[in-house]
Amino acid sequence: MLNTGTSAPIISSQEKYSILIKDASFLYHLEDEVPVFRSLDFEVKTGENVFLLGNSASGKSSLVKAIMGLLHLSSGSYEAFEKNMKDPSVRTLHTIRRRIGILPDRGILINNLSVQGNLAFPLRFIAHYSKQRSMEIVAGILKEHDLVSIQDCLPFELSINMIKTIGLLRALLFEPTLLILDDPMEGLDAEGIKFFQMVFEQLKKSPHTSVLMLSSKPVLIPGLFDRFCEITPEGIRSVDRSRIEELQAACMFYPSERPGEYAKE
Amino acid sequence: MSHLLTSLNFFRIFFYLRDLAQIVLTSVYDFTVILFARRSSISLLFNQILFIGLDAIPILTVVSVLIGMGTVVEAGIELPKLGVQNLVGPIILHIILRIVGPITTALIVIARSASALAVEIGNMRISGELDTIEMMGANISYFLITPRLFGVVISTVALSFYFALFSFIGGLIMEFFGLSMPFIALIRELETSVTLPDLIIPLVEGVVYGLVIASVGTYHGLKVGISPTDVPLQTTNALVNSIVLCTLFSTLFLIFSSILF
Repeated sequence: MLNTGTSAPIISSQEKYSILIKDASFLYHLEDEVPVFRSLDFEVKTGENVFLLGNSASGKSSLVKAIMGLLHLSSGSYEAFEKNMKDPSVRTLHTIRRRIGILPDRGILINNLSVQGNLAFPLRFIAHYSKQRSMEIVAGILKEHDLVSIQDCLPFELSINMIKTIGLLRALLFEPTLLILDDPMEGLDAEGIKFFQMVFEQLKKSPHTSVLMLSSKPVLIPGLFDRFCEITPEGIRSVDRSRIEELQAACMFYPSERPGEYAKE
Repeated sequence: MSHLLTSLNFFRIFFYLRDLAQIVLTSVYDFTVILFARRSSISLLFNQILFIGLDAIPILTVVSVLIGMGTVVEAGIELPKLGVQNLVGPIILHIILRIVGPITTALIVIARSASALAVEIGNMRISGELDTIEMMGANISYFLITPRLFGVVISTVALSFYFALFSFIGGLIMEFFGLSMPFIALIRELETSVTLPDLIIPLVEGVVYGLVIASVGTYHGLKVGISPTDVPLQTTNALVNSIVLCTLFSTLFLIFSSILF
């Protein structure tokens, strides 16, 4: 894992599931009549890495919101780290969210804060570190990843590639028990993919961090995922690795077994 | 049927006021938490005071001096014609401190800050920043709402007194043109006429206008849905509703302060 200098998460050895959703329906607002999800079943075991494939507008980001407690559980059950998430208290939500690192769709940094401010934000306003301590930690991270040159840039000055890189570093600040990556590879350039690969390699070696990666494209990262799922209108179902491989092959514009076949003379 | 719907529509104002009260009460509670346990948010409060208060000083100075000039000339020339020159001091004080000062300050704060609050929070909703902040585990009230609400309140109170001070300075400037009472006489009139309610009423008005402006701006910012077209709509609503509510409270203050003091 990244050396952020922050405290490691407290992991209970009793916990079997990071996420356990059973027959659950979620609403955006209490007054809504039509749920976002109906009879949803989904689980992420402790230490398990799950890849969840879903088309655009299939509900991936809504599932992330449901997991993070932004949607209302109207029926069924949902437990995060074995804590009941039916009308959770502010304290429960804070505890759960502190244990989950999240890289939202499009990265999403706070627009009026610089790169430095965005990385310091969770340290100052969630962990309540002093300004000096937060800045020391952030300076260390920026130096480690050779990002000092952009520390004063505002998000609108950055490419999506850089926004996602900063977003991922922010998600890893507290060494989360569960890391949720919502379409992380979308919009990345070669440098960004290299950085994410480096992080994935570190995650493989970290037995305490589960990864839930949601993606609209089939992305196979060798040796990272224990389980593959697909989100469909009927719900979330487990699929074999071969199904993802098959989709990955089908998604290529010009699949070819011979590299250089289309190169011009 | 249409009458029933219209009357039901009328009752929506009470739900609206209830939501505003909820924002204010939550922020008051969170402010005590910030003071004692979440001190990292205090710097955000100072930033807001700087933006809402300090940055408004140039425009407020111009407006207050101009209004002060007009008021003092009007009172200094017209009142002696009516034979009530001994009331010039109390009338100027009454007009500037209790009536014109707080509401004009509130209107300037509305123009600058109610719209800024609604646009800023609305854009944060559209871009997903609010959801991200919540998902990270931060309380948006500590980070976003409470510093802004108290920043507006503190700034509005301070600016009300600043307005009064520069209005009097504007009035004194008119003395050089011979359009007002002599400088010393005017100072003495003001000094002998000022009473405790003249200082308490602008203070209370500033607090109430500040709470109204900040809660309305915040409410409409949070009301933005997922469409970017909601932002201008809610900003307009924030401006209109702030003006209406501040005018309503201004009238109530005038009525009750006249009866009580």
